[in-house]
Amino acid sequence: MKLFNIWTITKKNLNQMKRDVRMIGLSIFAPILVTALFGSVFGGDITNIKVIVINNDNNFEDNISTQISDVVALDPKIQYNITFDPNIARVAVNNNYSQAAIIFPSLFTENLLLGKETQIELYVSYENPDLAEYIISLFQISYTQVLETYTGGSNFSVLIFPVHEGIPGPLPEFINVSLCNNDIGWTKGKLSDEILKILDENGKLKLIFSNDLNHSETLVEKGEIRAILIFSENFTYEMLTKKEINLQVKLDGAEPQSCLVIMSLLTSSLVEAFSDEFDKSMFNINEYYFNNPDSTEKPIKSITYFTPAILCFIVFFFSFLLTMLAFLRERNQGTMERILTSPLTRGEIILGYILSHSILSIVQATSVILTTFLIFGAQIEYTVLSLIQAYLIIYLVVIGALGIGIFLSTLAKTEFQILQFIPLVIIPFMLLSGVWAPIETLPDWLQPISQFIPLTYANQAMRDILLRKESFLDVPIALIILLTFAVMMIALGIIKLDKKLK
Amino acid sequence: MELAIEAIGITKKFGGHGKGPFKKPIVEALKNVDFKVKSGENYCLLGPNGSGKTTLIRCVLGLLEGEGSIKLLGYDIPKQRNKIIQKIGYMPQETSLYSDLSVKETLQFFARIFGLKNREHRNKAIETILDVLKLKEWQNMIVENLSGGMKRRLSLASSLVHEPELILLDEPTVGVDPKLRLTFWDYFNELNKKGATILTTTHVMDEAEKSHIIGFMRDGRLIAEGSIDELKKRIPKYRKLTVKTTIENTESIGSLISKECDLEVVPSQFKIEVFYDDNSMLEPILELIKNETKIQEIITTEPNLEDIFIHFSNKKEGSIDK
Repeated sequence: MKLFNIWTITKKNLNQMKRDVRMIGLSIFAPILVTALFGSVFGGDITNIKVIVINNDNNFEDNISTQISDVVALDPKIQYNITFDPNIARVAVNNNYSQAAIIFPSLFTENLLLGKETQIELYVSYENPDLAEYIISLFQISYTQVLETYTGGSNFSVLIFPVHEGIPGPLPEFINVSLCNNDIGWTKGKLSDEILKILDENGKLKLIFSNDLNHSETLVEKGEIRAILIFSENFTYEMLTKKEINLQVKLDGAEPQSCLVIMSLLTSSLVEAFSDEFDKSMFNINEYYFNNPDSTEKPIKSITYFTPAILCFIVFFFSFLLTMLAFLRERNQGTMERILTSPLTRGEIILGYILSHSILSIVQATSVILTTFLIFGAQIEYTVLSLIQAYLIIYLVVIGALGIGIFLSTLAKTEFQILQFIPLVIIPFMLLSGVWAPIETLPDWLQPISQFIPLTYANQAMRDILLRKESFLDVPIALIILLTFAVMMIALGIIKLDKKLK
Repeated sequence: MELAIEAIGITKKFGGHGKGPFKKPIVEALKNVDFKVKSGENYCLLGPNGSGKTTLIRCVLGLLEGEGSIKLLGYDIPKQRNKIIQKIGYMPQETSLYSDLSVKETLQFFARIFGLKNREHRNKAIETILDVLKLKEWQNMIVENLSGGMKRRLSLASSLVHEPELILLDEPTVGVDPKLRLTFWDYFNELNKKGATILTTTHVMDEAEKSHIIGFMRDGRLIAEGSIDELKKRIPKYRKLTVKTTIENTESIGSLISKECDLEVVPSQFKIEVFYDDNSMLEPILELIKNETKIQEIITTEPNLEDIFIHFSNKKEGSIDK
């Protein structure tokens, strides 16, 4: 193994790349485009939520109902359709023309001001639970804001009618949630248990009981556990005396999708358990998010979440593809025959390739990081140390990709066959390695498969380093697996790149 | 004399894998070939397309694995190949160049992989080969833009830039114009004079004559080898005497000659052909003819390679003529 020989191969590859200006341009532009698409498609907020308002409230000139609906309308996402027939509204929600319908009864303002009992009906389509939660909370905020100016308006209730219940989309099979139940209860028993029972029956959350809050917090910060539910000592007491539900949730902000699921499950179980006895406006969930440098009130932006995984994926994809094609070309144009009859060893050939391709990959990784930072403002760790570690992981990914590329190129005789390998390798790698959503959102039977995909570990390690401020020392297993994979693939490549023509 | 190439009992089969209806037919490309090239020889493998020349060269280089034992410059192939690989220059049949490198970059690459580490030494070697093969003015051109002939020259230069001792050239002159072809062969002979052992393959008869030793290949067998003179002599009655006469019917003279001298005679109109091998036979034959008729023209011909090849090709399979 001589450095001179390795560099000879690298230099030749670089000379070839240098000639192909369009290839260089594309290899920088393509990751930018891919990242931009990822960022735009998955990073966007919900917009244009259609809500119908049925306002039968006609008593006074100044309707409180109008005030409430005006506040709701302040939200830029809300699109109003106003109608006066409650049935039309219900049908609209049923048929998904509208995501929600708010129905004010006819004597709403009067009853409210006279202290008589009155009821708002809220029909919400639960086809997208996140959206439903969003509408409900928006509505709650709006009426609380309006009613603050009126005294004595405590005699009304909101009836929520969920329509189209069903949970679509990638919902996790299990999400690890830590639980701190300090609720000492009351004579009636612990009311917190009722919530836990519902969460447990739902089966989506795997509840782990713990009393060590600090330890739990570090676990969440490290991403090993997704959230902590904290019931205060006075949970039951406050519920019974003040009719208030106070609950604290600390979540791993680096997993925005899991956060959403946890929060929506929590809210729905609260509603299920207590909506008969308690006013929903008194449900008070205090959320705290770790691992978000911008805010502790919300999880990180989707683009921030995707960036580390996009880095790994793009680098893997391009080096894998370019290697396969480069080796096929060497064989088809006969230059492999010349190299194989030269003193170069197979290891030197492969290392030379690794060197030249990693230069390309690092350029691509940098263009991804710059795109996410400059265009989408992704908040990953931009410290020198974490970036160096990120690049080292990229290096391991490149080596692995090269090995697979060389191996598969020996199995293919033509470009057409090479093309068939792309979906075979890339699609499982893309879908099962947790680029879009955490592994736990995969169906049960697919989760073990993703454990065999090295990119899973690369994504995990990359997220730990770039989102959770961790270092190599915190992700030893992922590193060992990546290294083993890289070494194995290179060995396979060397074996397959026999000094013989077949 | 030392042997540069010593290949014994080389058999190479292609195909044969797969099962049932998918089984590929077995093609025997080389059938128990014994092949030796002495050090300093200029050897040419001659044979029609598909006779196994390329397969033999690839086997000798260890690029293909077949049965039999091979030694190059005294070392076992493929086991000890690393020891002598630097001394071997191989030019594949196809052009085999990186189309997106420049001429100079190509030569730099091949010089480097063949261990010319010293920059000055390397540059000098490249300069020399550029000069010899008249590529100097094109040295910064991209290979893709070169003409076919220039690509062949560059391909040759790439194989020879490290001044190998043993040069294996697989059909070096395919697609090369006659003038360049002569230059190539002159160059090969020059290298040979400087001490390099050269093995070429070709299917063009005239070219092979430029080599010292010719090996005929046919259907995966080496059917004959030797210098041209040796090969000619191995054909019985290989010389042909054609005598043009004034009489039309030469049959009586023909039967007379074949009776007297015990030679094969082909009489035809105004012409008589006699096959012989010893020049001392000429006088009695001509004497016999002169007695019968007036001689108008005498032509003696030696067989060309084609005749030799046809002669050996017609021999029974399996018998290797040495």
